[in-house]
Amino acid sequence: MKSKIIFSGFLMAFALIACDKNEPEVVEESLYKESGYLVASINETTAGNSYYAGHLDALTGSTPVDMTTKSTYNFFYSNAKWKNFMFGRSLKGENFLTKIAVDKAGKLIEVASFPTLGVLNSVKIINDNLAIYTDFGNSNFVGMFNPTTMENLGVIDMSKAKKIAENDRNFYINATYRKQDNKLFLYLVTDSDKTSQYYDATDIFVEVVNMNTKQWEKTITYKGANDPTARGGENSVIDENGNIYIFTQGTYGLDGSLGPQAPKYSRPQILKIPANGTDFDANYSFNPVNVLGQTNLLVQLMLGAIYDSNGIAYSCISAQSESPRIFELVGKFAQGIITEAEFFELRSSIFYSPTQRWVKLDLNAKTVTPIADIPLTAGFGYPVAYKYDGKFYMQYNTPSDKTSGFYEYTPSTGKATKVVSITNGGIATDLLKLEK
Amino acid sequence: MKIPIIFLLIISSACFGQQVNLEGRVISDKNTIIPFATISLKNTKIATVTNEQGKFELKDIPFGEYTIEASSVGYKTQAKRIAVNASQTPIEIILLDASQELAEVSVTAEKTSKVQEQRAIAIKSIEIKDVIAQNTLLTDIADRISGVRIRRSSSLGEKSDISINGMRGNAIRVYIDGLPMEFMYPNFDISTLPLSNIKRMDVFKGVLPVDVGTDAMGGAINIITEQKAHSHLRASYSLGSFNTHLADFEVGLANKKNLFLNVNVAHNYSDNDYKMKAFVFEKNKIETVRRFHDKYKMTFGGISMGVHSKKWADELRLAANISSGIKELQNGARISSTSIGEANYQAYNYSVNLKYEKSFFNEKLKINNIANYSFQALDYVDTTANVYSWSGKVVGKNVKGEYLGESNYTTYYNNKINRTTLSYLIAKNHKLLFSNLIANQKLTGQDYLKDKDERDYLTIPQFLTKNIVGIQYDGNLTSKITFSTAAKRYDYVLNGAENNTFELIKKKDNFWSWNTGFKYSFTDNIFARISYEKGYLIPFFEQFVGNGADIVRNTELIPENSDNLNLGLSLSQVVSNDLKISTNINAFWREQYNIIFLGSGVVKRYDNADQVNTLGFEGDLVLNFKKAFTWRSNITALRKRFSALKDPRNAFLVGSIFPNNPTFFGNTELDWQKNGLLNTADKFRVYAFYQFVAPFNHILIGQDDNFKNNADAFVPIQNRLDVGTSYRFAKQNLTAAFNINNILNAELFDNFLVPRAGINFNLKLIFEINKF
Repeated sequence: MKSKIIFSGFLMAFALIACDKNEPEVVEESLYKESGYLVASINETTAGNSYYAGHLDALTGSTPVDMTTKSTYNFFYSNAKWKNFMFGRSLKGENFLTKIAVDKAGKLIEVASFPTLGVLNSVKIINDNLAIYTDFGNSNFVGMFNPTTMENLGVIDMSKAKKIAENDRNFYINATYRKQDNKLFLYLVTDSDKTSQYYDATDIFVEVVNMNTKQWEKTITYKGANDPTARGGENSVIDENGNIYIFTQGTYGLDGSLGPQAPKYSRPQILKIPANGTDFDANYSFNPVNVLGQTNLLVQLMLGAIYDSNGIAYSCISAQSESPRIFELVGKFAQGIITEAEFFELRSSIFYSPTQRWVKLDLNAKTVTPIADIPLTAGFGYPVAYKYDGKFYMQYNTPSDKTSGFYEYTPSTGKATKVVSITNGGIATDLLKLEK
Repeated sequence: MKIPIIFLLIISSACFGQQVNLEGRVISDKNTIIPFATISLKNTKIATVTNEQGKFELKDIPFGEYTIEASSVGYKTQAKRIAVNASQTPIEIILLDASQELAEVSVTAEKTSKVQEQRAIAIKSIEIKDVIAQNTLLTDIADRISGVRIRRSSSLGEKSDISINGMRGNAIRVYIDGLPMEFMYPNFDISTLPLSNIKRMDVFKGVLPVDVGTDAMGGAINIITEQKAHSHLRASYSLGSFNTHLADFEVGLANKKNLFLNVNVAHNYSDNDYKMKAFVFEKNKIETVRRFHDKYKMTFGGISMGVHSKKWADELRLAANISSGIKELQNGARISSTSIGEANYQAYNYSVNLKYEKSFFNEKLKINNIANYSFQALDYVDTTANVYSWSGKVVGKNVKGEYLGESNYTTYYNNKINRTTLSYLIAKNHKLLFSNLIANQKLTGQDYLKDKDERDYLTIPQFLTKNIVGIQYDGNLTSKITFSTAAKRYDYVLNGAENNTFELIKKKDNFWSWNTGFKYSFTDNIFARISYEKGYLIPFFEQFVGNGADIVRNTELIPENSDNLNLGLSLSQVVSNDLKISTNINAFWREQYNIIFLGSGVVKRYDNADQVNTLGFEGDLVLNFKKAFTWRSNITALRKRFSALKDPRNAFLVGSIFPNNPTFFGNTELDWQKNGLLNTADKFRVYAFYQFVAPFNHILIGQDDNFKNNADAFVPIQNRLDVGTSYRFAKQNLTAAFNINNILNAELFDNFLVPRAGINFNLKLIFEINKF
């Protein structure tokens, strides 16, 4: 025992010497990249989808990026980014919520993960220690986790939330966190397998959760709108004051709701939940596509959104008249004589043609200004946008010149320039700035 | 059962002409007796084997002229013309040592199989009786052939994906006696066929003769069933790991009127509960788990009866089969973070088959007709919302349907097929072959999830009719040159229903293709051959008309097609009295066009898309030492790459390696045989088998990706070692075999990284009496 005490004293003395404040402070180097950009793309072939991802030290401007020189993965899509980490499904495409980083060699690496019952749908990071996630198939599911430790923090009880029982899926496709009152707003998507791929309701339902108590609080409903959020990185935005703007996409027309006579609920709308309140502003509804003058479009789409400041936001919306061929096909559709091949052509033209455009939206004045420097884009696939250092990075996809990538938009000048241009590797899906 | 017995009694009472017993013996050129030599009368079903004294007897042979053939391992096959009459005397047949016929030592190259492999087109042919003690499944046998890989897990009953020289999936067809299996047993797999009923397996590597092929695009496997017409009894039972039981029994009765009746039953069962590494949801880590929802059961029964060696028929056979099976599902194409715990399917099938064979004009003209009708019902149930961990526990709920979404339906297939084949010997060494196959399939069904007021797409009958006719010339142009060429015409009519309107639609088309083969024999032991075929693959129901749900129709689809070119060299050489060597080296080139592809857009339909090129070579080597040791090895190397892409944006992928295809693999086997260990005619065999598969990508990879820097994109190196032994107790007519597979318990995978079983064993007993 005596020898142990002596030995302990020796160790303590050694430790004190070692902690001499005159020694230079050791900064632990991160295992992962904390600067530069992660660029990702996807392409589809008879051999399945390929997901390319690679690290760029700096944006490449007009110099083409060959993604095939980067690594491929079974799957990559980032649902959320926090500092230099990304959160999404596993790199094998399996049902995990995975924290992903870029290693020093520039390759994606899974840092930690935990399994999910269904396909991960959305992730919302609230702070260093709390985030929520939803999944695609698990009815009304909202889970919590710690984004730093990846500890699974359990679920929020949504048993009293809105659920349309006759539909096969009721899930939250996205969420908005309002720090002013520590509340979470979750947007319900309801879908039936008995219909085609579209929202099976004509109202919008938003669940309000009190994050102080982690308890469901209420369901609010907006009548006459549907598909609250779909596609893009952010589909609802929140301003400096806590006003929430919900971007409804507009239906695909698969239910036959086509053209200017289509019900209002099937057309895009921006709706508002005012700051300090948890109910819709019944008087606020703003259809940017109509404001842009495209009221006669068969299908109006509003794809993705991102907020700037002072009521200014950006979105990718339908911005070009459809071709005579499309009207011819719609005529056949209306008469019930369209063949499936023609129906396929019709839908492909609507969804996968470069007919959308990034626009600047004034959410207060309800005005729309096209960003002229960014060409028309086939935005249906990945209409993502990011805000880094006061500038905006908007995805483009132009099949005519086989390129896809990102434009950098500077709000102060209203100018946009191409900063990433992918030639080989399919369609750009992510441009993530890595930060400490 | 009454009807067949009455039928048998009636035809048994008939009497046809005079008959005599034919006796003889078989000896070697060194005047030693040759026991267990096979004796047969060509173009009849009359056959027997010699006893331990080398003697044989063929009973009740109708008077007439025959060609009697004798064969035995290690000796040249001999045939001689004989006249059978009232003053019949014993026949003596002398077999010459096969010093010039090295390939006889190969267990995979004997008799008909050897003849097949000598053709101008690339074929590998295997006599099942030579390998049955070592294998339990047809797919295991095929997987050991150069250029062939079978993608399946170790789960008995699971569907197999056959790859021949880089072509796989629907491009490869399976036939049973020349009839397409997808028309006979639409949902049964080649691995589920009981081995005991199979005589031979021919693997066509690229080019198909007209009497086998349909719309196979890159090769095929033709399974030739055992059709004995003499009294025999055979029973086998195999007990294996994972509670696997394979049992079959067959009895055949024949009388002196050349009537025969065969009855066979088979039963396969397995828990398939082998251990593998998988993610355990509730523990959030990968552990070794035991598969828990993968049971398979199949019962098969068949009866065949007929008559052979009559003036009006060389053979007339009527067969009826009935089978049923159930299979639980444990995983999809890949292993995911959760397993499947409740989805399963059951299938029921019955079929009748009528076969007629007759030769005319002293065997110059031969006619063969096979007609088959089959019915199959398949119940597929996948309705649970439970989510199963790989531990077997329910860990939560999700959207209903574990595999492809909530499903509960039955599909019914009614299939009618007829193949007529005529061969005519124009002159010595010049033969014309004509074959016509017509096949009709009717698909209906019922979706039990539909509401009463909903129209059920499955209830609409849909029909696919194919007619494939071909004519082929085979000839020996000189003593050194063998030539074969064929032309085929494909016609098909599809009557389906449109997704949106449920209106009936019709698609009708036809096209031509051709193939040719050329063989040059440098010496008796060395030959080279080259062959080519333009192959086609007619789209399926769903590809044309959609699935009544999220896949819409595309009747503009055109058949996938391919160019298949094969170049080979074969050598067999006797190095010394003790050492014999044979080898085959083949190079192959495949170009697949208009590959049918299902996209993943908002609206899905099948489209003709990309073009893929495969280039590779394969080779095998067989060494035999002192007729006791045999060493067989083969190796295959190939590259399968995109050569053109429909979407211009994907043009950069030209040259990229196509995923899920092993690119370098091979195996080697050493066996030792000893005859007369306990008794004169006993046979003892022991072997070790090693298989190697190099890493290959299971997803599309970038230029800089390789196994070292992106291991997740690759199926890792696989090393498999099997050992086994068998002993034939000749007096007891019993063969016992014991095999240990993957004895090193190595990690093995299928082409999509699904783990295969670790170390496992099987014990097999085969009791067989060939004549009584």
